[in-house]
Amino acid sequence: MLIKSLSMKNFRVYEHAALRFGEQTNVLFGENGAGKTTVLEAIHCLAYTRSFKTHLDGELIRYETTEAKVGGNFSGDRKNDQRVEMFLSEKQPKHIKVNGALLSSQADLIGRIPLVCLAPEDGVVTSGAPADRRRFFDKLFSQVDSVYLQALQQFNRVLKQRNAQLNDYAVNGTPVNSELLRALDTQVAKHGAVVQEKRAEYLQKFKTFVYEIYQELEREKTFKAAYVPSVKPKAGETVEAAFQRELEASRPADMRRGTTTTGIQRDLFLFYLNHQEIRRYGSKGEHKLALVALKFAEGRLLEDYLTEKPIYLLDDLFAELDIKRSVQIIQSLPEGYQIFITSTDLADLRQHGMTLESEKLTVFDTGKLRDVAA
Amino acid sequence: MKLLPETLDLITEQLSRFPGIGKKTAQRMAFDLLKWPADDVRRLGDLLKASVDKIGTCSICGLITETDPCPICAHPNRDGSTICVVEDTMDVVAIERTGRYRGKYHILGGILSPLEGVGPDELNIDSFVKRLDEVEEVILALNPSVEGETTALYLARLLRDRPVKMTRLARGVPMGGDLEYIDEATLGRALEERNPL
Repeated sequence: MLIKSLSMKNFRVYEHAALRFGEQTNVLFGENGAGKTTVLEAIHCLAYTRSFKTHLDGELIRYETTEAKVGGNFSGDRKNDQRVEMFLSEKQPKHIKVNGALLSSQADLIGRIPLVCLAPEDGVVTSGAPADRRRFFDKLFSQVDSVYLQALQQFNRVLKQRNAQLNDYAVNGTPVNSELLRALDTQVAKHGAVVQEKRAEYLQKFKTFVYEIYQELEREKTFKAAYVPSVKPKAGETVEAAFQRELEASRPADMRRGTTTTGIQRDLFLFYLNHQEIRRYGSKGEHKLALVALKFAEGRLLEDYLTEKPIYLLDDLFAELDIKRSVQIIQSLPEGYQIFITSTDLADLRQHGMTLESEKLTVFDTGKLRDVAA
Repeated sequence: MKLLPETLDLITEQLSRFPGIGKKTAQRMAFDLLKWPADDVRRLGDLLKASVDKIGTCSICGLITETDPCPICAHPNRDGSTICVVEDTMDVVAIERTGRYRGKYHILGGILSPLEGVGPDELNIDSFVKRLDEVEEVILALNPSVEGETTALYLARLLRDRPVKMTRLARGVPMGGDLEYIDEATLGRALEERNPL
């Protein structure tokens, strides 16, 4: 997948801007606040309906204006060309058009434009809480498998129902209807088992990708990703049966605490560098390098299942990395993909080993983009 | 000085209680009402009053009705050995429109949702269990949502020791549907529950 051109109107700092992108590496440079990241945000919006910086769409509308618009022309490796437009307004809910037709559900956009985004905010994937890693994988697996997304949504809903009943008991002492609790358990187990089995399946694949990619970035160390489900089936037991068994066993504790203590909402995804958990022992540079490897592995998985090459948005790629590692990353950037990189100045990129004179490279001075009329 | 008559404000306030009716729409409705012929407004008022006095729920099945028992429970030709369990009266209307069902109904008056404080005691479940003695088949016609599923599973557990056949509505490809546009979960279910030709 490629984004051929982008137009922005009243989007963040841009009053009007129109850009044509190169098919390979695109470099956006400019001072702080010039609007480098904004271009990436605009592209991200067209793939995921929202920015990676904020979930408040109002922040995307330019100061003292009330409506913003972003449009992009995409061309697929297999799919037909498509035009995606997003309209933001302070007065009405945002809407999205694909090839001029209004999408009835914004969720329909997900999976159309495979896109991998690396932003400073993603640091939590390696350094944050277990929930941050679950979110990373849930987002990824949902894109390649709509059954995963549906099972996850239904699980979350029924878990909320179960917790509401448990909480009502723990806080207000309302007696628990055990038949109702069992009916809820059956569903928690059913949807939870689907998610757990698929997590195991997809992680198996992801694990190989991320191991290989990390090897290219840093040969001396090995990167291992592991999935540790909260529910542990015994020999010969199905995941669903194990779920039922554990829910039953933890019922007294769950009632006391007013919440569900076993299940996929407690699953762990762990990352190791040479058998040491990165979250605990990784240096800043190691975290960043691990994140880069995870993001490229994300791209490989997307490409594998969607049979479309993803677009890569790499915001502030070299922050926290030493020259040696940056050079390594530049050299192992995937070939034949459209990649967007932001940087405060070009000298910095040269220093990191980037050949700026290459025909594969398109360079944008974002400070000068703002005046270009659409 | 108050610009609009207070009665008008009060009408607006009451109308805005309807689902999907905001303050603006309610006000427009109230103003429109003023243009109606006086007799029509009086008739509407009488009907509203009658709705309180005359309309109630069937003591057997819970259907919204003017007679007790309701026309379906009282009908001599409706098969009492089959009960179709639904969430509310609107669902009965939908099933009746198909013209394919000759049994009786039971209206739960809601769906199990602890999040919204709806437990088994809030639904017409006791009255349902009392009806089961002469029943051979219970058809669960509940929405395919998490809550619908919870309610179905709960009822199934409740009835597990009784000699009654329990069925539920089939799920799958809608009539006139295009396979290409059906979501994976529905299509997957349709494949699992395929019928012999």
